[in-house]
Amino acid sequence: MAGSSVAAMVVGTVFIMIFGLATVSLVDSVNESIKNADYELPEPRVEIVSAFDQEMSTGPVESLSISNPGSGYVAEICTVSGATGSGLTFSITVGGSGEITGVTIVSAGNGYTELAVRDVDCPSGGSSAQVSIDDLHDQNNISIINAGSETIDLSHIYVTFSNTEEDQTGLPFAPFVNHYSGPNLYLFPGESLTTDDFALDPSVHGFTIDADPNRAFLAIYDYNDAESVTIT
Amino acid sequence: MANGPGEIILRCAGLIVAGLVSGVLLETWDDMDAALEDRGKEGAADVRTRASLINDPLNIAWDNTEKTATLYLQNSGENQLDLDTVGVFIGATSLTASVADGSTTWIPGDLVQFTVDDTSNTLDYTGTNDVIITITVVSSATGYAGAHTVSEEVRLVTI
Repeated sequence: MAGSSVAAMVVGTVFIMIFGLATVSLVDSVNESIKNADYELPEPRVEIVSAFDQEMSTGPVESLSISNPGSGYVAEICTVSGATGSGLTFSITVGGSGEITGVTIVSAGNGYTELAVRDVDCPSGGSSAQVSIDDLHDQNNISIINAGSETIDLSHIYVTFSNTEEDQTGLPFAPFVNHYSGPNLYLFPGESLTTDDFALDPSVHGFTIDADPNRAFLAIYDYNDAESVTIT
Repeated sequence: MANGPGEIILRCAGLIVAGLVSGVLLETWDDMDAALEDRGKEGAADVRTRASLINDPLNIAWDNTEKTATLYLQNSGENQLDLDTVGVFIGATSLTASVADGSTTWIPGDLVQFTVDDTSNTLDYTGTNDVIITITVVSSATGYAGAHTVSEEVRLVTI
């Protein structure tokens, strides 16, 4: 008879162990569920410190005038030589002896200085003509600060310009992908950063180079910030 | 101590009944465990699924002729999102959302441009209108797909 009692104790102990293991597994699942419920996605906070739309010391050319008409030119697309910038092209009209009578900007380029007189450089040649860079287009830059406690991937920050007076809104662009030449990839808590100077481009910003958007709206994940653009 | 065969039979019967009850209990326990585990995985997928509206809410252009608007949505979660199951409502009106920038994947951090279209021609806006826009996204993870819904107050400006 003692044997049956021992057997009952063994079976009981096995049951208790099985129930114990099942309870542990159940508690683990409950804990896992609670952990998921407590999980929080990143909540970055980036604020715009300033946004400017102004003429910089160098930039895209807005207007040209003829300083010296030269001679021997034909009507075609030309550029200038000896300048600091690049990308400026303009079409020329010529008179009877090949002197330049008019210039029309085709591409404003960038990096040019105002009030500089430059030699005209045309594919078909010509001699002595010079143009004066009379005015530069405005350019923009944006400064931001990481106002939160999380490190932020710069490529996740988007800015949209708009002109509230004319109900025009631009396209969202990543300022630190499109307009930042520095080495940083992340913005650490408290760190601030400024884009390079950039000219507006309809395909990137939704505004033409001569537009003056007056509002900059920043969005990153669920956080937004907006500032007025300082236009000078 | 047992006093005879009858008691042994009773004891054996008790063990059998206890075993059967234990089996039922353990099975129930196992079902609960599986349900909790499934719910945990679903919860994990849900909590990691999120999208955010990147448009300036002050001014979202609305084409009242075509009944369309352009929305920019950022994947602000940690799961890849399904581009084909984005749901958009303006007020109570459902709109179709289609990818407008050629994106084929929507990984965390990425911005995707959508054209939303009121194919039912229900919405009729002129001037500026403040509305509530509701967006639903679903993660494209295999097994458990998380879902996220966000509502934003925006100003539609008719162009």
